[in-house]
Amino acid sequence: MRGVGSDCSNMESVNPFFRVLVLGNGLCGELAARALCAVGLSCTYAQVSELPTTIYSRLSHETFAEHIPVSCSDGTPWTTAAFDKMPSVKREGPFFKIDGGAEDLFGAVVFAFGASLGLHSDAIPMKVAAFQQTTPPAIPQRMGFVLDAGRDSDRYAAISAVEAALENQRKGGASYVFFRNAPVAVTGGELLYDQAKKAGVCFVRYEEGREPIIHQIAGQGNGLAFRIQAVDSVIGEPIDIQCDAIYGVGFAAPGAIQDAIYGIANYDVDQNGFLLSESIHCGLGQSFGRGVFAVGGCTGTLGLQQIASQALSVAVKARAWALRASSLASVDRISVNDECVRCLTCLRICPHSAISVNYAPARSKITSLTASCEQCGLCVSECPQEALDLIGFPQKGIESFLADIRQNAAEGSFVVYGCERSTSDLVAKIGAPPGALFLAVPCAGRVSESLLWATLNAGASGVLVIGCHPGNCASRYGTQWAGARVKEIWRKLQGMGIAAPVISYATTSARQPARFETLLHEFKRSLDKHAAATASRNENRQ
Amino acid sequence: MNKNRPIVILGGGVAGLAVADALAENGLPCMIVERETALGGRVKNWACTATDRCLGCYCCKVDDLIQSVRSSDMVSVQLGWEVARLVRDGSKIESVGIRSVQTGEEKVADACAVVAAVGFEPYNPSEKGFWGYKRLDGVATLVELNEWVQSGNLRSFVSDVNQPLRIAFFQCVGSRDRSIGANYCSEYCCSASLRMALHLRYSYPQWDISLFYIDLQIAGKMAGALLKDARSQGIHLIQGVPGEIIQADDGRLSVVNVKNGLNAREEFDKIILSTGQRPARGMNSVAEILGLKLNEFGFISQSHAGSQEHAPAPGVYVAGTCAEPGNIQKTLLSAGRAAALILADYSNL
Repeated sequence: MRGVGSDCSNMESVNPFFRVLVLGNGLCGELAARALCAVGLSCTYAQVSELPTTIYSRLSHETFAEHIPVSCSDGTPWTTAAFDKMPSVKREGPFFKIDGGAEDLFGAVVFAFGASLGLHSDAIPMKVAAFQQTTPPAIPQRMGFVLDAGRDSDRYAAISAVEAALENQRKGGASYVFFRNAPVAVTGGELLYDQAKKAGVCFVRYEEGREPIIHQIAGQGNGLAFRIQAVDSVIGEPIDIQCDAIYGVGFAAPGAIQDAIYGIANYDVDQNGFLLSESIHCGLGQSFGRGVFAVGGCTGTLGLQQIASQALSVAVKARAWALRASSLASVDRISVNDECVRCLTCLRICPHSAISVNYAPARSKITSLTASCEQCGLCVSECPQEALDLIGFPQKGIESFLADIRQNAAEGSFVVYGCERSTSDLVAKIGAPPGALFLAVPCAGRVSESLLWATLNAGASGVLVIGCHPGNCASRYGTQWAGARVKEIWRKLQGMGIAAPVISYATTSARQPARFETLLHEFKRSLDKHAAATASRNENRQ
Repeated sequence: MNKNRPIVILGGGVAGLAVADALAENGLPCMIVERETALGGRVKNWACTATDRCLGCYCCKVDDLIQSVRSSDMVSVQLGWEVARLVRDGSKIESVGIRSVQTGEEKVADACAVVAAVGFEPYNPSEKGFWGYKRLDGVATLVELNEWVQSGNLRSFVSDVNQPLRIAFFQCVGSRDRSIGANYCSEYCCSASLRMALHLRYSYPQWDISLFYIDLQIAGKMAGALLKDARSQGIHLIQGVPGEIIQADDGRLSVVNVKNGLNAREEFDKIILSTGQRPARGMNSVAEILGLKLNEFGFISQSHAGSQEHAPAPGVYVAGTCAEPGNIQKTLLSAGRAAALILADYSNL
């Protein structure tokens, strides 16, 4: 194992689990490579020139080297490779490799590139130049900056624009900033905003829907100039000024993220198209797909300081991942029996990309990648052949729970399958209704349709499945699968003419004991009400 | 090397837990020293604001971290203790003296590095009479509201939650305020209030909810979705925070807002003050013990973190809101940064 902080330049002797491939461009790529080397990992930085690079930093010229110190004996601490286009990256067992590239295997992949900057062209009636980090206010002039038009500007782009406005003002120019929300939620933002106001930068707050109107007019000599009209929403007065230059400050937009990236990143993308879903489980730059990370503008983060912290956080996670992946003994996490027909449902459904197929002439075998498998059980519950089982939470444990119900459960007992993460701490904190029989499952997604039927057949008067809130599941969508199965059973019961509220699904989090208690009592009440109604119907028939 | 000397982490909130978790995952021993009797810091009493789905407040991360740290044999936890002194051997850290909060007893913990993760103090709006806090019925802070929601005890604030209610959130209370030395944005409160507003609207659809802001700071991956939800749910987002709260004759709370140069008076049943983050109690003494400088606001910021040496004093690292105000995600990134820098420096500690 590579020592922490030691020389990282000699790659050949490195255990491939400790090699990381950075696919990126620009400062994000550099920061990622620096951070990985700083924590002692071996890094190959594949610089892909078609990937966007836009990020923002304060104009006060901080260098990224100050953010991430790397001490290495000589030369560049990482290996570089250059590509024009994004290469295709494939998984090979627990490793990654560049398709058609060198034979090198990597234990992890880090995407590290910038964003593009979008401008809401409907909101600004004519095309204005987009404010870029590199736009220097070289000659003092009358400069207009239009923030938040149609959509809030990226906070870091906006603060950079305020800084450019201030610099122009200090040099003797005149700066006008039109905005809806001043960018103060960034380090030093409020101070800079104050300084700019004191220096004479004119800030004009406008209302949503009343974006400034920009006209192009004749300027001095043969030059062009612009006229901006807006209404200051605080004092309610119109403002009408002329500028030599106008910049629109945009919002972060994902550069085209190719299929190549989507595939290896497990389609882990947010609603805006940035890498990594909105889930809090991806917040530090770690994808649901194990061994895949992302840093920088490609995740929607545009501020240099934040990107540096993200790169360092990813480096720490990547190193922990390398330790885990390499040191876990090859004990299988799931067992696969002979019923497997290699439909590859498990491979597609696994949120952590932990299932692989070992193709062999006689008989291909499904295997689980030891370090990636979190034993959530989604594969087990979706396998159409019921060929899979979790080593850490085997079916026979569930069967003895059901056998116990069959033999010993009192009348009116109902089962609660609770996700370990969200409910296991809560059970002890609440007053459960009588008859509740709990079984903690690794993820609500482990509760299959057949388990729900089996539980009813074992004599439970009802089954309540509780998972994490949608969007909060550590197995990405396990909770939604549980909900879908419950709904399916409802549908089938109704198709059979049984309108019994015997199955239900609800969500909670580990910090909602009051909610958890209410859910249990509500379910019990609905079962009791149904039992009473059935009893009285039976009585009336006699 | 220094296999047996752990990294001592001052503070068992989000930042301290995250640093401990990251270092433990990387095989390094840590000790968390927390002055309260439970882990979790400020977030332990913060509410989950999920509606029909998670809104990304990150509070449950603390629960995950506590579980992870408790089940790791690389992390030891000292509850009810605080730092008393730092002992160096030359420029390296040798040990940390800690003191029991309750008994005053002191003991020594070997250490190779120290992480300051002592967090923040929520602003107390009693300081300014015009907010009416602790004086007028129906005015509470965002902190209190979260405590009531989290403990299922909202009825102590709203006697009948099923009745229609007009409730308003006031942003920037104790933030962006030069007069109290808090000329900064606390960065968490606009989003936290908006999520709470969405959660309340979902739980009690008959409530009418307004949110008064100066500059709305909703950023992050869910920003678009949160704002879209706020609009479709009819939450009023109003620019301009009223300057004074008074109690009207009918017992309701009355405020005046200025818009387009005109005054407009509005009445509410309840007003929630979104309080900012102030430096933690005892920051001065922690800074002195560790040899750190505080910035003009009382935080341990290194201006642009990283623009000087990354460790402000040899062997001393900083994580979380004691450096800069922020939300949980920012704190987690800052903790990751501290852990990475410790790993990078480890052979020299």
